[in-house]
Amino acid sequence: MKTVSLSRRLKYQKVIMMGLLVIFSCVLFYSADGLHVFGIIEKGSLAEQYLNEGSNLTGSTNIVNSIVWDLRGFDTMGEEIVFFTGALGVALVTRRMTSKKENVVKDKR
Amino acid sequence: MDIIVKQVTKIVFPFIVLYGFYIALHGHLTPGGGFAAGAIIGSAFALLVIAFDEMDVEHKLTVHELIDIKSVAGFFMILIIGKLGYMFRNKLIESQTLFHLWSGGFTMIMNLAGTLMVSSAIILIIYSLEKEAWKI
Repeated sequence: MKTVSLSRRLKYQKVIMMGLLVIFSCVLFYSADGLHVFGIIEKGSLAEQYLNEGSNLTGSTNIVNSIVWDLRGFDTMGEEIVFFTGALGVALVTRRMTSKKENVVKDKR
Repeated sequence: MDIIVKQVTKIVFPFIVLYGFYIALHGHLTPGGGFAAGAIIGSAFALLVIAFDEMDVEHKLTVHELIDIKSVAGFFMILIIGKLGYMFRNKLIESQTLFHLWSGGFTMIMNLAGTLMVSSAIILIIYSLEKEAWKI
């Protein structure tokens, strides 16, 4: 059985990753070509529907709020979870370093 | 800080919190919403922390309680979006009139839950940067 050395394997990996990168960038450029023109609302698009029927769909007159908290509420929940994770990270980094016995007492509140 | 800053902070602080809740309750009618209201309430607590010394402030909320508030608000958001919204949303919107305070279906409750989440996150960051809250 023929074994491939580590440096050679790394070279293969580099070639494969370069090929994947080229394919991925081609897909990205192809999909960017199909985007809408900025500032122009096409007929029958989702943006037009939101602007025209947004307040009737959600019952709120603030269209931005109705999109953010109602029509795209699931995305907003994800944003909040990201925010919460950031706050937890700050609390973890800046907490007091104490001995183990004190920590046990603190956890019981 | 100065005694002027302390006295003005004592007077102004509840009004800032009240204004934050106003923004949250009217989020579906006027500009604003959950994020803005949470930022306003969090900034009120930031003012409190800046104006008073570490020894003067008695924290009513501990860090653990803030994390509890936040997770409960997140649970309510999931409940509202997932279950209640699916079952009752259309009926609720049909029975309400536009431009009234009690309109917008579940948008107002979502705004309140978002306000709780954002404000508790900002207060958590400020308290933990102050480092006194961990003593309690």
